[in-house]
Amino acid sequence: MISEQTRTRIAGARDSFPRRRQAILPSLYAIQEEVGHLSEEGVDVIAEILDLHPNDVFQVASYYSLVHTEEWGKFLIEVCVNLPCALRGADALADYVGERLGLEHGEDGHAATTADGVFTYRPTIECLAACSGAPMLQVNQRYFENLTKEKVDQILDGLRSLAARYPDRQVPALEIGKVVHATERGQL
Amino acid sequence: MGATEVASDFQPMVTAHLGEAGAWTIDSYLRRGGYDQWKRVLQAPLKPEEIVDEVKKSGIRGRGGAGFPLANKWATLPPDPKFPRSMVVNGDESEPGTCHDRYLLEEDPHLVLEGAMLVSYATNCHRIYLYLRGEFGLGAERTAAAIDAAYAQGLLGKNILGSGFDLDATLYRGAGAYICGEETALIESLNGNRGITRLKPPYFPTTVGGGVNGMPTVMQNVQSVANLPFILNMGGEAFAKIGNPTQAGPFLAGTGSMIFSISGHVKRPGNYELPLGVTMRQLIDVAGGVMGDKKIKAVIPGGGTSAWMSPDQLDAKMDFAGIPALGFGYILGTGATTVMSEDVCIPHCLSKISYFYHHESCGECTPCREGGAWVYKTLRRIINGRGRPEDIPLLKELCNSIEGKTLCQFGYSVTWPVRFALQKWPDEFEYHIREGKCPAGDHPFGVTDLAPAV
Repeated sequence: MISEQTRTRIAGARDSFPRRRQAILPSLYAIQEEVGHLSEEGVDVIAEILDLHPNDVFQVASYYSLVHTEEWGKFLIEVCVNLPCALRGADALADYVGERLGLEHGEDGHAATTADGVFTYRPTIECLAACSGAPMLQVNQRYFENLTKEKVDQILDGLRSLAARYPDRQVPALEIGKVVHATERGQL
Repeated sequence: MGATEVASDFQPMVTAHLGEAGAWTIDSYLRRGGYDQWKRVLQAPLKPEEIVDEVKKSGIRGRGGAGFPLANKWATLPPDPKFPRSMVVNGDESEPGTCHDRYLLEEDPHLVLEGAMLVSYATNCHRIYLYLRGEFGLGAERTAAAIDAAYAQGLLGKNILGSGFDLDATLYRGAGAYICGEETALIESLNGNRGITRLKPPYFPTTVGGGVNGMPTVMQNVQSVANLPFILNMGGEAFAKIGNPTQAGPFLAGTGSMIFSISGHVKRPGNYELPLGVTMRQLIDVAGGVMGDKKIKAVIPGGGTSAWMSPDQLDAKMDFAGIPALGFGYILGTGATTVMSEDVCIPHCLSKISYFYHHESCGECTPCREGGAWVYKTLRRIINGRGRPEDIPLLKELCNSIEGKTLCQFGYSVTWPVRFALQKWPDEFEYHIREGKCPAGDHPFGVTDLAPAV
């Protein structure tokens, strides 16, 4: 059941744009935040509130890589392996994270989830705009840059304890950002 | 001119406060004179034409890649006021090597917002869309907070500061599609469709039928709008003295500064704001030189799309005339520089870039959708030691079949790096095919393990 709160949010998005269609993408985010992924019911609810056909909603949903219909773990970990990152050892990072999580990945690695449902790992994501902080990885909506193996260990351990603290609901992004203390950036 | 000289006679503008604690809050922004220009414009009041005039004098060119002068873009708006206009800030940064818009949006969203407001006033738009790529979680949170704070201070909304000017701002998040950084695809995405490029004409979103909801739309890159408060503060003429204001064709070669994202094999990768017209060699010096004091093999000057520079081209000026002067295929683009040391294997590096374009093709045009995959798979075959002598002519033929045969610039992005790498480093491809192994051994990217910046 999609909650009343999310329905209100979708209706709010609908009213804030000149055209109803424009609210599809914000609505997809609203559903994913509640359910964890895009459910069939979610598509129907969006279509109903925006007064569109479900196909209109799903054709937009299926285009974008951040909209997903399969269930993911609590944390989505993505390692960028594009050229600027590869030049600083991103392939070794991708292997190391996979090894630590016990997940294999092929060359065109698709998302795989650990048995406990905590981590989903998508190792070959393309350019996350953190090139000068390579090697880097992203956890849900937070970036971790200039990584060493020690830092990766620290991040994964921190995330495991967070998962234990929030067994039933999504972990706030703010908490994820605090897993390592200083967010070390590229020099400005 | 040495590295220190470049850095000492220039004060960073847009990046001046990045990295300061709390720089993203409205209090911090107001303390350092934030929104002064916005208030001056509304309360003096300035006519929109006066702002356009300053921008024209400044000679500023868009920082998103194409380098089109802002004032010239605005001149293509239809004069008829019956079409409601929108302003879009393009924050869908994802060109490989480019990573400065994210820092601006995370660390100084009010600067971006004020710039967008000034553009909106100058072009008579009443709605701003800040389109951010979906991955920018922190950037989206801080931008949303900045919009709320600006509303709370009465800097957005109806009849702002009693001027009679209405302006609304909305944050719009993409959801993971590189092509949505392309103008027409971004507009499709904002319209609630699949974010794919559309047929031209209409050529510009500024024209009727071309923009958001079919209405004229002014679209500017994050960094372009962030320069607006500085242009109005110092005046267009003073701004035009920074950088390289020589005439290059119809426009100036590059006035003002640019944030150069430097990545790859340099000692201090990062974002460096420097006046346009610095040479590539100076830029690499500013970033500390090459890691391990190695020689340079190749440098990408303008994000993944551009052809790669070889060591003999490093004295080229980084501006909208200097890089294209190297030849067809060389672009300044976003000013993102990726340095590759002598230890790398060119075909391996190329396959990373090709995979990106194969993966991110929106699928609209067949040459790019199918051709991108062919290019990548052929390269992969070569680097895996299964290359055939006919693969090199095949790659060239693929380039010819894609280039210029797609709706958007993306087709060139697929082919330029490949075409020019085949020209410049043919022996590396031939070695792979002949010997069935990599000349760089087990570490084709010049690193043996994780190599974070220290």
